[in-house]
Amino acid sequence: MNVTPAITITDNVTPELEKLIAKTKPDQLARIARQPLETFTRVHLASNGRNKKGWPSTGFWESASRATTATATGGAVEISINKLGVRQRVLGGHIGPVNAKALAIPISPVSYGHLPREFPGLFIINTPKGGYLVQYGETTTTNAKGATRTHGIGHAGGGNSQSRQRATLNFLFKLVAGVDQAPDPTAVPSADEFTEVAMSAIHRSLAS
Amino acid sequence: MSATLQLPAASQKALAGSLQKYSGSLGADWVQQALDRILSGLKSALNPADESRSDGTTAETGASPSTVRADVVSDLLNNFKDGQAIAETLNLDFKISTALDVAGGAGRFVQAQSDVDEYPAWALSRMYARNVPRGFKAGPKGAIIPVPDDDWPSRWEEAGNACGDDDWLPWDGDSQTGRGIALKSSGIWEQLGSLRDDSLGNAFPPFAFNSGFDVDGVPYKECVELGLLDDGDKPEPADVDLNKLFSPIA
Repeated sequence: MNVTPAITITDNVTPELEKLIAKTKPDQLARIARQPLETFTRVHLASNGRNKKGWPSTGFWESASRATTATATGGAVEISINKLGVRQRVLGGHIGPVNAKALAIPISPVSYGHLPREFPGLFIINTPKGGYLVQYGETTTTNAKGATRTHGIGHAGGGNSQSRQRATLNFLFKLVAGVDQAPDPTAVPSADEFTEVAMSAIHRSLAS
Repeated sequence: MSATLQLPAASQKALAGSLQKYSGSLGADWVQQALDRILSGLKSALNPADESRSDGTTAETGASPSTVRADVVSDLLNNFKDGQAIAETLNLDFKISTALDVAGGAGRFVQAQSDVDEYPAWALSRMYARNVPRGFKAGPKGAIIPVPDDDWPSRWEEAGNACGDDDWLPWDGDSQTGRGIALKSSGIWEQLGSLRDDSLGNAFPPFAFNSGFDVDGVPYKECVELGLLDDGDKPEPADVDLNKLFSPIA
């Protein structure tokens, strides 16, 4: 009697290796890392502090966070922050007037986040400390029944804006030839942080 | 190079609708001019550009929420005797920032459909702090008073019950630190953006005015562990017509 053993070898390894190899292709790695990188960037931007003077927030950094998208493209992840002013804050640099003779820097919670052209009746006062854009304060009238009503010019604001609006003159902007803004690279995540987030996402994915 | 953001049609219509309420008092022509300026400004604000200057430097150019508002206020409202008061009534800042936020959300929504194999689901949770969170209202002396059934867990349950599928999980945790998870293809997202008066009509965040809640992707493995998918299932993207999503209003 002749016995021929039949041995069937099932290759369970190759398909798993192929899956693993597919996961490590650059375009696939980019797809794995895209979402965590986007969320990490958005949370980081939103955690940037409010304005130093404590004036009513314009929501700049939350707005920057909401203007952030990440795209996986050609084996890379491109993160875009479509918000004017973010690059200036990160890289710093000189800001000068373009279509005007001077920059108008807000010096009041009333003018913070606003442009001079929104305030009718602004005029310039030159002082030893420089030029200012100024507006007359509010006036109070009394009607026939004796009720008083105040007529403010300008905008509502927090901080000491109410007392400023009652002032005879509201100093709203300081005129300057330009400003040199210091860079703040910490406003966005560092390269090391990006790498850590991407590698963490990739490790999780490869382990699953 | 940066990703191009567009303003969704629903936001354009909402903006037009909110301005048209003032046609009677400000005039239909004025409303149309204001709408044109705002839409043009938003388009610029959504996609800042670089400009090379004669001194060899490069500068960012484009509109900001401040310049969009200022265009309307200085050119169209200061002609009115009480232009500033009208500007306050129109609440332009709020309209402009909401439109920009929705456009950003739309951009991420589109990108999120490209990695549905890796992240089949979204988790809704708080991303931005609020002094008075949804589900509460400001009371006297700084008190925060609960508003029953207005918080996100309540909305989540209502949206889930109305969406017609079971591709979502019950809210996990409390109203401020918890999260709601659903497949990207679930109808819960569309419901979440449309079921209340303050909803913005989006199937993506922000779902409501001034919302601090947003979404993050949930990995495939976690979706299987949570029972949203069986291992080997092929996840589907959200059913969305991108041309319709961004089509310009007439």
